[in-house]
Amino acid sequence: MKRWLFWGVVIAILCALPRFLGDYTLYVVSLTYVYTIVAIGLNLTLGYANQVSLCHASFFGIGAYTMALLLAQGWSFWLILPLSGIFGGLFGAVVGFPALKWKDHYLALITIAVNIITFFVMVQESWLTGGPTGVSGISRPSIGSLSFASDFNYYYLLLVFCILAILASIWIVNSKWGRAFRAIGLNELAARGHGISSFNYKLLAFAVGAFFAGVGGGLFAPLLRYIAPDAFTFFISLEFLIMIVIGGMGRIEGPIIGAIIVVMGPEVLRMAEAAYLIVYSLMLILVMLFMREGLVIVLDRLRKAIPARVGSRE
Amino acid sequence: MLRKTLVSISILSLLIFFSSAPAIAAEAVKIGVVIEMTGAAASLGDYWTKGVKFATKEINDAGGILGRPVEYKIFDTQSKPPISVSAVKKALAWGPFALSGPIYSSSTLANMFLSQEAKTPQNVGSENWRISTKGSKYIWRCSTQQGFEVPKLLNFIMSEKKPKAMAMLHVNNDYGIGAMETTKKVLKEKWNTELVAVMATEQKQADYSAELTTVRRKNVDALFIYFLEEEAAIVYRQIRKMGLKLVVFGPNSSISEDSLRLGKAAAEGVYGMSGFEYNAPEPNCARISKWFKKQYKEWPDNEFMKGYNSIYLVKTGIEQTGGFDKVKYSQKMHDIFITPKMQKNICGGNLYYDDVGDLHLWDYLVQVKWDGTHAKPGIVAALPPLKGPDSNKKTIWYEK
Amino acid sequence: MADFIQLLIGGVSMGILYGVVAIGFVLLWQTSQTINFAQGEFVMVPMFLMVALHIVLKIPFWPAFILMLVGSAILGYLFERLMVRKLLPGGVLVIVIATLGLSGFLRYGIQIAWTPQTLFFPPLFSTEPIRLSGITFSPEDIWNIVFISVIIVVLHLCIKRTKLGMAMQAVAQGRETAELMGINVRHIIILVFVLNSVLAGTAALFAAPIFFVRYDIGIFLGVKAFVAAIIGGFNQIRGALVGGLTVGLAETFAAAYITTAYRDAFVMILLFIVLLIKPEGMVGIKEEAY
Repeated sequence: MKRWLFWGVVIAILCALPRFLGDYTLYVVSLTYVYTIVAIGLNLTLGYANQVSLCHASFFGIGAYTMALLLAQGWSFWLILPLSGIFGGLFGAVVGFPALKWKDHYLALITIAVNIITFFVMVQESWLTGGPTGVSGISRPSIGSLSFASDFNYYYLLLVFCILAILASIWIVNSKWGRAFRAIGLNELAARGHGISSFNYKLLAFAVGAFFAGVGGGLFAPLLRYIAPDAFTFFISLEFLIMIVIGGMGRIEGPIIGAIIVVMGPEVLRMAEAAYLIVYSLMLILVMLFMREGLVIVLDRLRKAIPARVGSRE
Repeated sequence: MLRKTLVSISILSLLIFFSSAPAIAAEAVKIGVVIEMTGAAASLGDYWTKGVKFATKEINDAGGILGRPVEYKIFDTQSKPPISVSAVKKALAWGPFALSGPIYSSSTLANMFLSQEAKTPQNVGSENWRISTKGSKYIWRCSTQQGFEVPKLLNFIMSEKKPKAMAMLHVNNDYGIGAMETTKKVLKEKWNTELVAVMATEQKQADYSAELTTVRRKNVDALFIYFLEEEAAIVYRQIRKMGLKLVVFGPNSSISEDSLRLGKAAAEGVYGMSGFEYNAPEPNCARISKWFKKQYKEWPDNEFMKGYNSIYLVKTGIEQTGGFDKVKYSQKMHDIFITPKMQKNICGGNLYYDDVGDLHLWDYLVQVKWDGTHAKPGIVAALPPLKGPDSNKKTIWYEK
Repeated sequence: MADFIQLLIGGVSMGILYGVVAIGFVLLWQTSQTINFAQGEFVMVPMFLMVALHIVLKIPFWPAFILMLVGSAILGYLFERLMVRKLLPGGVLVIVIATLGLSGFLRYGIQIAWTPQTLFFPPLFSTEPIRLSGITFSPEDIWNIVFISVIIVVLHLCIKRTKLGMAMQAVAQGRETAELMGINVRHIIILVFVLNSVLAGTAALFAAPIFFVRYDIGIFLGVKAFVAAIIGGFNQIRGALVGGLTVGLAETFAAAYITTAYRDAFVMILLFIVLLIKPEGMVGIKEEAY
């Protein structure tokens, strides 16, 4: 009961938030929701199934371009959004094929290569993608008379999708798929011994992770109202990686904490320009050295410290 | 654990306290500098902010704008369009009168609708022609945009050098591709000719033997190079190493201080064009460049002058409006002819802003000279603007 | 034909640089299963070091070069002591993530601590063109190729012929066996890390006049070298060299004869082709691990 109360309060606060936020802070929080969705996807691929992906920005970009280009063709946002996810997911499944054979550093490099190639296609094939200057004038959706055109209203749309994404990831993690992902992640040979087809599930881990990224991209394009290839470089993939590593790989809370820290951290701390990039890089090293579980363990300890347990674990 | 938490909370709150409690004089004219402090364009952003800093100091020392001091604050775009959007939002939330920057066209294209919606003047360093087609009344350029720069440059090359075969190398991003599109169009429409080869290159590319052998095979005698500074310098070296004899020319980045500092002797003979040159016969550019040289021990890049002007433009606009009304400012600053008489410190001589915020000014045609230790831009001619009151003037030759 | 040789010179002079950086990759992987995603930064940092010593502090060339190598060696030593030693038990993925962090740390560190500007470094050899029956080249290209080749040959001989080199090979083939043979595995591993960063420092010296000294060059070099190592074969020094040359030649020839617009993408496509057809690399040896 207390659990539900707690989450009810959290959601109520998030719903009330826009009333107190300035234009800019509202945008940052909205962006955090989008990045959270993508990071959740990467967490499923990397955090649970242990398949490195350094091309999540590609999946993200495919979702965003699907949205931008089809909106320009006059399609409905509500039809395109699932398509964004599906295109991202299909591409993810294709990228997943190399994962059947390679892992760790090989896979890391292969996915970097994928990211570089998709970036080139976005820049070069201007008949399709609008070239390096990208696509501008992306509109926002509406349902009936309810328009999401303002930043204020679009915030709620993103909040809903972010919550849906979190719930979906909880469901996936506790489903047969999630157990299989973890089994592959922990020990592939043993998983195979237990009759888990690593072939299917590896592809699935990539496809599902990429689906989330694609949906994130589909929501990202209308948020920015402009997209360009620069938003989908390998460095953005690296940012997603930083999010889940700092937050905590293989935990539901991980990508949420990570996205909050990576997107909002620089704003809160207002450090000297570029200094936060150093801080994040350093954090990657330190987390790997001393706290491989990620910052989520701080949360765990707090929970233990507070006698009346309010939070919930996945 | 509890103690640790308490300590970290107190450190955090200290940080927030100290960082978010700036002492702002209530009546300051605030200018949000949205600029590339990190990422690929960091060195350009560095010049730009130095220009902003100097202009601000100069204006404040002279009593501010209509008696109010100027205050600026820097917002990093990380050279990435999405971050530039949040940087502009952040800057706007700070309540500025105007914005200065960014330089990257893809960033400007991403965030310009925000300044338009907020009706806040934005003085950008971008040169891509698409920006002027978006219908914003709140964008002003700080240099000649590609749509006017390329025709001017081609006018000179085609009529003075009369090349038989021209090729173009361009960097594979919005900057280079935008120029390539304009070049093809201008050559076809005005000169009824075509490029014999067009090649896109990568940033950080260090070997151009593939491109240059093609240039040699096609007997190219004029090579248009539309690169960022470092790559321009690298390609000059390689042209020299391959012993190619041809006319090399490019935009302001190809003769800017950074490319000359890196290209050294190899840059000798390269033609380029820029509205702002430290040794141009224009007193203000010369004056602020001397200050820069004294301060930082080197000559400035033209981004320094652009950043400097971005602040003086705000001063001009406010003084011309006679107040702090942004809508009136926007009306006033379109179709305006700014002369040194009107704004004595502004760089570049006579500046004309047309109805879409494009800048038209006298650009200097430059040929690089090598004196044994330094590569220097030698001023060849001053080319009149293509639009505005000065457009019917004749080219001024300094050497021929 | 003249064009072909011109392209060959261009491709080889790039390729051999990628190759020498890739050799470091391979050495680290063989002896300690370390994948260094900060390898490019291990070239970038010595570049800046060299500028600091030779140009800013005006130390003569050779002492400056030696000091720079010492600096690189310290970097490599610290890398092993403070990071890799603690991370290795966690597996390859942990090292991949941590070295990605290290790469960012060094990159932005240099940018903030020194400059975001690109710095000049004088050419080591003359760049005046020499004409030879239709081909034009400069002494710089030729000497770069010659010197780096000599370094690689010497390195190869050291590893094959000297006692220390054989100890390194033994460690690469199996730690336990090496230990049983009385080899101090700890020392050998530290030695390899130092060797790697000294090699990267040497590459930096040759790369600095060509690429110029810029804080963000590391990622570019690192990815190229990594691709080279995989294309050539991850478990062979000569694999790294073959891979480097392949990458250099492939990008030059593809740019000349197909299109320049996808220059960097060609290399990645080549990577996929090699991985599909001969996953152990062009001259690599099959391993059990994958």
